[in-house]
Amino acid sequence: MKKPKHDPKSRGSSFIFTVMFLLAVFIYTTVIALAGDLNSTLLGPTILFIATVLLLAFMHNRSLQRQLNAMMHAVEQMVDGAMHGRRPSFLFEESRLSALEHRLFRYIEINQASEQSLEAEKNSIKALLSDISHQTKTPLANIMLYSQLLAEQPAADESSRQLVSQISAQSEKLEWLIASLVKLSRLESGMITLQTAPVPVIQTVSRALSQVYTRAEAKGITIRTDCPAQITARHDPQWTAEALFNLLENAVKYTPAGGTITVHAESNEMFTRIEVADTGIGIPAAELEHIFKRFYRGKAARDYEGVGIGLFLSREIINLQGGFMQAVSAVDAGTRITVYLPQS
Amino acid sequence: MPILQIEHLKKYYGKAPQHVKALDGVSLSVGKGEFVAIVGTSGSGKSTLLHMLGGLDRPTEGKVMVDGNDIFAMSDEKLTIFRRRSVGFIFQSYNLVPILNVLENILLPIELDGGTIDQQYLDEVIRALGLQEKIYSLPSNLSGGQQQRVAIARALATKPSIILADEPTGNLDSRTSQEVLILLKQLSVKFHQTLVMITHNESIAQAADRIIRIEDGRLAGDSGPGERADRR
Repeated sequence: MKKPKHDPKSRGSSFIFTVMFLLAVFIYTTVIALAGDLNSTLLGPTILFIATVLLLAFMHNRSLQRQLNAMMHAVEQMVDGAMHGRRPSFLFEESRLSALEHRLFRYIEINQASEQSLEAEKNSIKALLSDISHQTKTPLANIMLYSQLLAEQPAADESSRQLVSQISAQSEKLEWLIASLVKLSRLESGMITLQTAPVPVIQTVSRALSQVYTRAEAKGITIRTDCPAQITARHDPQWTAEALFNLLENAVKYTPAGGTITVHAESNEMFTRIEVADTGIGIPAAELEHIFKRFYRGKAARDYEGVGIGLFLSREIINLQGGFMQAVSAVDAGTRITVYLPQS
Repeated sequence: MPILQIEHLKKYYGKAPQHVKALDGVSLSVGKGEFVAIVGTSGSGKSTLLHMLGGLDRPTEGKVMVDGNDIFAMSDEKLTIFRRRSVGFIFQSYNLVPILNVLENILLPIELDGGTIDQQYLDEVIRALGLQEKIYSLPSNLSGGQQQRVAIARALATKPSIILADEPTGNLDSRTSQEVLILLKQLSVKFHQTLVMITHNESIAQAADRIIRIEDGRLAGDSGPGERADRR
């Protein structure tokens, strides 16, 4: 490793010092030589003395430089350590370096404290969300139960029955929304850690497909899969299947009867990609960049059931695994969503 | 606060009146952590703009402010040091040193700066780019995508706050391009870096938060500061 260069200013001044020092030694030598009339007995010790002085000066200079380098090195390590949040060594010494270290860590502590308070605020919001989800579960289940009981009342007329079925449908939607929010808040707050391992993706894909198969069949949509068994990716099969299921569910929802959904998997250098392509209604270019946002729903999507959380949840799951999601779409031609999962 | 601010930047080559206007009054501001794609046909001035941003070339007129400092008010020596510490460059042609192995290539900018190596950070970068098993290979034994990943690691080695990429996927096939792009994006989010990338490929530009169009040395379009939907 190369030694750090001195800045020009200090180099200049140390040069002047060297010249002055050498000049002084030279003048002294000349004066001694002349004064002693070139006495040979005096010459030997004088040369020895001068040589010793030069050597000592040189050694002192070297040791100073070494000290400076060691100190700079320590400071650099300290700063790097601080960036990674490593604890300081806390050598309480009577040195400027130790004082600097202490100051630096005070600064970092203050930063960390404000970060922690932000984190605490965030957590309390997450806790609130989790509480709301949890506390609404029982009343919601009750509403669904009562509406079922109401529907079974023999005295109810046709219009009441219709209203009751509306209540049931809306309650189901609400239940699904709350369940998704619970999942999200747990994922985001790190309450659930994804268990990733390099395993074949075929089981994961099939698991997701099995959940939409009947729905697709009922709508007359063909599902094609092209997923070689040897393709692997580092992923959590259960959660990734959930993410893929959300993509497939959207594909079924937004593809008219008689359409096709294609699932394609392939490996590349770094990532394994799984594509879900449909021949559905497509997404306008202006909306494409927003589709991964929480609760975002496209204009055309408003005629369909849903709350706009599926894609957001999917991307959250994929991102947490070091993956990436991308969407390409053309109106009335179809949408292709690509999931990239790391291979190792 | 914007990290990059460009004011009425002009670059003319040759003497008036025959001079070529590579850049003709571009003003722009890029926020911290943004991922900006600059698109334009060849000869539109986009590469000139990128070179100015990184202090590789001095403008005829105008200012480039990085973190509020006018970089062209600096002396050449200071500008070089600024470039080495604050800017990471990624080029289309990788520009790896053929006689150095992957690790030596990555460490080169740190050694030039005489700094100490932050091993923990370095390991993280190498792992994220999937280069763990290749660190002792020579560039000539790597695929294009791998070489560009080494170039990315090298650009990140000095922990720059800005990454400037000039057609980083220009020599790669579309699949590898996607991967390199994903890695660039993931890393710039992870290490809080601002990423400015030149491309003539529209589908590559789509990955950015913001697309800026340059035509005949002038700003021809700006999708505006992007929303950080996926930045956390």
